[in-house]
Amino acid sequence: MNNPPSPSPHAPDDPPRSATPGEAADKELGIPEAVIVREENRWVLVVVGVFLTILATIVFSAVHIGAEPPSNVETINPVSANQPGSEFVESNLGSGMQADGTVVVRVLAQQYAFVPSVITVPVDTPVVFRATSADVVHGLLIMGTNVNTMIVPGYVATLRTRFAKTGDFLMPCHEFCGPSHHDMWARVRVVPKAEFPFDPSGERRF
Amino acid sequence: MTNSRNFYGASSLVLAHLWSAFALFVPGIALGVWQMWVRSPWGHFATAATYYSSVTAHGSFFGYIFPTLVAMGFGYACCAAGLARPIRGMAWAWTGFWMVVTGSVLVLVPVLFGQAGVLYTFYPPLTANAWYYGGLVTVIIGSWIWVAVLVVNMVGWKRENPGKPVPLAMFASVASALVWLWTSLGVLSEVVFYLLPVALGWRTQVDAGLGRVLFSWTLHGIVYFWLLPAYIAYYTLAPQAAGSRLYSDIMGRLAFLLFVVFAMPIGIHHLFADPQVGSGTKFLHTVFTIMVVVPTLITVFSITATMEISGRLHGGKGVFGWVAALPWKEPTVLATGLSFIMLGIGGAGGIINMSYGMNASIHNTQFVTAHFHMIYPGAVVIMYFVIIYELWPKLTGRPLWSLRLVRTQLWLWFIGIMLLTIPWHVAGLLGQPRRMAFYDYSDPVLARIAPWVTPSVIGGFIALLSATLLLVNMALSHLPARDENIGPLQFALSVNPPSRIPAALNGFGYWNVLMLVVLGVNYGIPIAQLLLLKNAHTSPGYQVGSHPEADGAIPAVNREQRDAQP
Amino acid sequence: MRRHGLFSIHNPWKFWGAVLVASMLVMGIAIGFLWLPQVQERPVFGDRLKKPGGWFASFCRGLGWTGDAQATATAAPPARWASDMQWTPDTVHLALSGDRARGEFVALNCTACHGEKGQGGQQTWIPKLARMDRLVIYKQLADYRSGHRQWGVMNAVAMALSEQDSADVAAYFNSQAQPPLQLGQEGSNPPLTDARFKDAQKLVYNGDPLRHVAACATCHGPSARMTAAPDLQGQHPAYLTRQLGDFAQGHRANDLHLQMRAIASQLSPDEMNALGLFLAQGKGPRDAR
Repeated sequence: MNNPPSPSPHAPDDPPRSATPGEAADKELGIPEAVIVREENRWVLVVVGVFLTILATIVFSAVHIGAEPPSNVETINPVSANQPGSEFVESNLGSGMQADGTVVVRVLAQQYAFVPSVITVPVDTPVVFRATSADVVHGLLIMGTNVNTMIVPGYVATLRTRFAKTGDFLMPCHEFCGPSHHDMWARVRVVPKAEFPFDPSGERRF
Repeated sequence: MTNSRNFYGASSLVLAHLWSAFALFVPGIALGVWQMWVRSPWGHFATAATYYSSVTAHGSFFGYIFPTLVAMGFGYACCAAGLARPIRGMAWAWTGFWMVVTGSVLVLVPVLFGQAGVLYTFYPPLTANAWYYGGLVTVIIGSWIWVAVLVVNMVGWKRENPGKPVPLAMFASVASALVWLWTSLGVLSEVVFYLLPVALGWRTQVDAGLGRVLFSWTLHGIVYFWLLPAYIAYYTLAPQAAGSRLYSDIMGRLAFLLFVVFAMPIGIHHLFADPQVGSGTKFLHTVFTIMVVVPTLITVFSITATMEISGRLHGGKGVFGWVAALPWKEPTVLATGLSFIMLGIGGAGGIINMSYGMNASIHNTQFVTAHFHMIYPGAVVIMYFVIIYELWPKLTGRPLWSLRLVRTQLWLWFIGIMLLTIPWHVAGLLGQPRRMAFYDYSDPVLARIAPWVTPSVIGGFIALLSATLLLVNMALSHLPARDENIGPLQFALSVNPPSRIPAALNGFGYWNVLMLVVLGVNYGIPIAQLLLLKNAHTSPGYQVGSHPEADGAIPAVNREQRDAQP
Repeated sequence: MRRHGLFSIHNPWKFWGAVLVASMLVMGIAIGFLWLPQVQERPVFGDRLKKPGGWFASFCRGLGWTGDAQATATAAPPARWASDMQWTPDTVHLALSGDRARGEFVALNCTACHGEKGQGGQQTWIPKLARMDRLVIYKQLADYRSGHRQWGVMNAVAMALSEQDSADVAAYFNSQAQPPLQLGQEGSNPPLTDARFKDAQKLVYNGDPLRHVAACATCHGPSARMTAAPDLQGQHPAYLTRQLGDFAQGHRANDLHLQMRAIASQLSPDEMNALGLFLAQGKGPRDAR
């Protein structure tokens, strides 16, 4: 940090004070201002180093392991989200496979359940979660994974992931959505690829 | 009752603020402990609405009311004692005080009646009783009077003392006031433009996404508003108590200026997982969020150096020998040490929360709650205790009842908070979501978390015991005979007290402008973007709480239609 | 220092403060809006994700305008949905603006089965309508009209009613006195023992999270209300039990977002029975505080 010319210690207009505990400090240590400034400058270099290290770690993990927050600002009318013509109509919810082998999971969150309440996805396959809310703010978290997003009414949350191992996972709503928030849990079942049949028509939902 | 000499006639004002801040301290903590217990494996279930009302009361009190009153009271103390003259605008100061008290009652009453279970973070389109929001607005406006009083006093002093450095305690208090002023604009605009109109039935639709962005504006700055009284205590009270001098006055000023600029326009890091904000905006806020480690690291350095001076004066030798030599019997030194331990652990956790990518593993889990309970009730509130213990003799003119009791209280608090938060962090890392009234620990996944929850609850009870002891200390310390040797409050001098300092470090004008530029970019982008998307995505409000008129399913949206009925 | 003045360019603090902030803004925008969008989510998703072409596309992606919706547009199964009802402010307004006096006239069609003034008839699988919320009656009539809810005579009745008629009759029944609670063990087989009572109580006030069963009280009142969720207290237990069964098996599927189907499919017949009795006894959601 760029220190200005430091004022001389004990400037004449420094009002005389009665004996304070600090007096002893002056007598015994008498640290010159130059020493203080030097030490501080060294510390500022350390702080700059900390800043740059944190920043570099964040950028590195974003570029190389994809540790980035989602970015898709897409709007939807929450009141008609369940109507025909909407992507979140009842019959279209759940997992479906696209022609390129990607699995798209559509989830509708509402007080106080996720639809569907059991989600099946194949292991080691690119999965796109698309979720929206029919009423208030919700969130979803698949425990034991990094799948974690807010679900805000009026917006579609998009999240990409890939499940590394098979098994059953809990998927609670993690944002306060009303007095039965604690009842809002779903499950995610990650199955071997063979149990998630490829569907060329793309019309089947699980 | 009070010793008016020491604060130039402001003793009653300071005492009124601090007593009203701590009057509900024990019940507020009792609610928190009750919540821990209810959701633990051995808790009994109460109705969920009661639980969420309790969370709302606990959060509203400790988020808005308690720290505001402490900051105001301590700010007035710093103003009077720091500038060594009476406060100008005492009538205004009392007006602000009564507004905050009235607003607090208005906030808490609807919560107690189950009409405002929206938590202190609101979550539109959930809608609470209009009085709840109205009370909050009253609290904020009342606290703005405090901001104005401090600014006017500082400006007036500078005019009459040209070229002289504003005393650090006053300078830092004004920094804290300015952080609060700019910070509270976010929540105030959310409440005034979105929530109150819906609660009153004037509007039907609310944009939940925009509401969250506006709240995030407040959500991080408010954390620094909670923190700043603790930092002021580090800089101005701790060196004195350790028999030392502050290592550097300039670095202190710099730290507070950095808080003014960087504490607030960084709140989108609370919205990393939100769908209404793009990743570019999220990254921009990440960069500025990293910057707030700088004033904290500067503070850690300055205060550690200050303490080292003290340790060496007390005969400490070697690289770390001075630590053992510190006057640990001095409550303020003890509390500062304990506070630094909690600040260190909590700060490390915070870096995970604010990391652009890593956040996804802990977002909205109990890790977050554990983190801010380590920082706020831990590192910060223990310094509020210091403020109480340092100011009390000066305010009352009587010595503290018992230093041993004070030390016991501080140790109990430290042990309680550590036991509360460390297992709580682990529960979060195991994926336990936050804000739930009940967990079914019979599930094997949740059963793994159960052993971490139990010690946490015990920690909560220890903290509650400590809080009770604090109130006992506060009350008992009004009893001893007056001691004429108790002088006025003196703030720490630095090793080399500056006689003159650069004008840029003696005022806030320029730094406010700089902050507003950052704010304009960092919040201008997402707010403009959401306003451009207007009307495509709003949703009706959802009234929480019962409808005693038993009129059936009336969401907030229909209020006016219902009232228009014959 | 004063001689330079606060806003002077010669003030090093001011100068370096501005440089610091400006460089952070430039760095944040450059990395966040221009560089990272180029590599976003590609490490996880491989080459399935198109790289935004050009800096402008990159900037839009940083703002969140990604065009991801098209990328996920797939063939959809034939549409099936629960109800045509959309609770827009206009619809809510219409449903609440019924005329009670006109409604009394419309209600002449109803009393044969639902009882005088909606107080309940002989058949316990037919609901009592008195005091029922206006939005509930309005929505159920709309669903009978559109065929999203099926029940013999009701579809025909509803088709004869206009939207205004529905609002009127809703206003009429809503204004009637609360029917008396049935405290007996009506239709109770097996009887409501203490243990079963406790189980039902737990479901009503607490729910069962890991079966994703939300607490009845939080939608059916009074601690909170879901739009168009009826008050259950004092309803015929046989009606309630039967509706739960119908939801569980999909015979009734007009709950807007599968709430009731998801819940009922997790309940055992015994639980449905106990819930019906619990609610009928007047120890229902209304007691929750």
